[in-house]
Amino acid sequence: MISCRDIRFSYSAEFSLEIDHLDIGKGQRVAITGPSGCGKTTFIKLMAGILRPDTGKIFLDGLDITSYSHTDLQDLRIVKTGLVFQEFELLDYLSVIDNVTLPLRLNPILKYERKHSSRAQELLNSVGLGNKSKRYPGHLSQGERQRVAVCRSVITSPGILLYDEPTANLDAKNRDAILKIIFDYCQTHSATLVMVTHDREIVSAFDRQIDLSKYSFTINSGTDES
Amino acid sequence: MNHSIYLAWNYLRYHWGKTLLLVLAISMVIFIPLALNLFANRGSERMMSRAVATPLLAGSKGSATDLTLSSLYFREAGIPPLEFREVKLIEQEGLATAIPLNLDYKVKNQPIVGTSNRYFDFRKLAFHAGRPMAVLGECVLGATASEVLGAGVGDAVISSPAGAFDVAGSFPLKMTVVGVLEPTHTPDDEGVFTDIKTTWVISGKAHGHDDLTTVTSDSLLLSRSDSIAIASKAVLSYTEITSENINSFHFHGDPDSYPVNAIIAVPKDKKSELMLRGRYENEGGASQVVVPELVVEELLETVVSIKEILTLAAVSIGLATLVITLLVFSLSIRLRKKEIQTLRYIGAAKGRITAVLSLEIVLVFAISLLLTLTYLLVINLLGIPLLEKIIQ
Repeated sequence: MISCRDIRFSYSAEFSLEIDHLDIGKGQRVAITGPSGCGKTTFIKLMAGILRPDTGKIFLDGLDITSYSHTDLQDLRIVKTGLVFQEFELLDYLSVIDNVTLPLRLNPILKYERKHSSRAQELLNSVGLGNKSKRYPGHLSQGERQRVAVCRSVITSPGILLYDEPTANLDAKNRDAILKIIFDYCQTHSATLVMVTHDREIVSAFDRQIDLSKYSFTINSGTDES
Repeated sequence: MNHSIYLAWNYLRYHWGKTLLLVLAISMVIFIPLALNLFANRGSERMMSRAVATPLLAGSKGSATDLTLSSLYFREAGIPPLEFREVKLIEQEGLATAIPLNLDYKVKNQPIVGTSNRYFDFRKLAFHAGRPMAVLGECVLGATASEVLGAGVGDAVISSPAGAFDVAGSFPLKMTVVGVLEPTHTPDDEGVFTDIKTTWVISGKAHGHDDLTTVTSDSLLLSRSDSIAIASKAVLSYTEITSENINSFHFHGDPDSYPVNAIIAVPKDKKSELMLRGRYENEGGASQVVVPELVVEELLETVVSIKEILTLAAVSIGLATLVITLLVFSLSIRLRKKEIQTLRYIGAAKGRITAVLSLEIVLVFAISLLLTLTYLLVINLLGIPLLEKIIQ
């Protein structure tokens, strides 16, 4: 469950995101839509604790993440959330399977064990990349890399998935495959999904759509020539 | 920590080209001053050990360095010779044992060392085969000389003419090899040792030829009286000393005035050494006595100064390389900004990221050090023997 209360966030005097009241229920699949620059990525980063709101509170499963220290937030993020970004951001020097298990190697609260490698292999098998686990991201197609990113986001079995346009650069076939993987995971783990998308074709597959343009304000600061 | 090393190692392995370049550059920068020191120290040790083992050297006045280096390393001295009577004088005084050295001639490129059998005892040279010289015309080869000349006991070696236009003397002399020394990895390995009298035969100061008292052919004699027979150029001078002709070999003039390049003087004790040195210093004649240890020490001081300058230069280059290496890493961190951001987003603490990036540098330096040790091991195995050969 995600709750936002009286959120105010601004980058500069030109952009502001204001959310007075927003709840996303457990297991809900929510599509975040809106025009470019309306703050969709900012919204995902706020939910993940990567950015802190100027004011207001954000609750993840009842925990007020705005009161957490930076370190605690990192620990919380790695345990509770799975993140995928618009650009795949896999590490080019790690093999596919090492990219999937990377979150477990990075944070001491998740102890990496041999079983995690098996789990990563299972995940890769489930997305059709079982035979490419030893390859490097540079040898994969865009769709394959995004599938690896999705596997990485769920290796810690998080209850909340925060995805920023994971299907933006994919063709319809790959997009549908990725969505199926994500939805399957949400169903089997009762996970909450918050996904930014521009793709109107897939919005209907979600439980709910939030148009973020209703919450954000962009002030045109162009030179007044009159 | 293991995971940080794992990530750092994977980064370096994946970017192996960059890593290799860095490792090679750093290892060379560490290696060069170390190798320089190693070479200089080993070289100094080798030079000093031979100098220390040679208590005193007597020779004509001139460069003490030339006298020492030529006597220890069998190189042409370029200083005038002493007379053989100097050897006798030292012996007669009873202060030291005198070992003469005549170094003017060669067999191909191997130096002929005209000396006495005492030299072998003095340098503690063991015989691999054969025996010391017994009569005129015999020689003993150092291990390398034997190998280079392809000669062993029972073979013969021929002295090379001192110069193409030396028509007055230095005839090639065929010498019989009667012994071969064990290798010592010193200049003695290079020598063709013979009795000093044999070198006088090579120089033409002693020679053997047809017996003119029994010659009947008029073409061999210019004139003959009851007491004098004057030979013509047709009289045969022997170029090999054999048991048949050895008695015909004779010296012209006073052998005491024959040349000796240097004399190794082995004093009986410290007092004798001081007395001998005192005599040479007080006489102020045409000869001198030097202490090789002091001469080489002085020489090495110059070498050490050069070494220090080179080390300073190498260290400066090292520091510059270090700065460039750190610059490469810091620029690389800028280029990896997105990667670092990803690591943070998926849960890496700042400390972990710093650890991974630092370990990359540590690993590069660790590999460089290992490579440096390998270089040092290799030059220890291959380079030091080469250096010793150069010093020889």
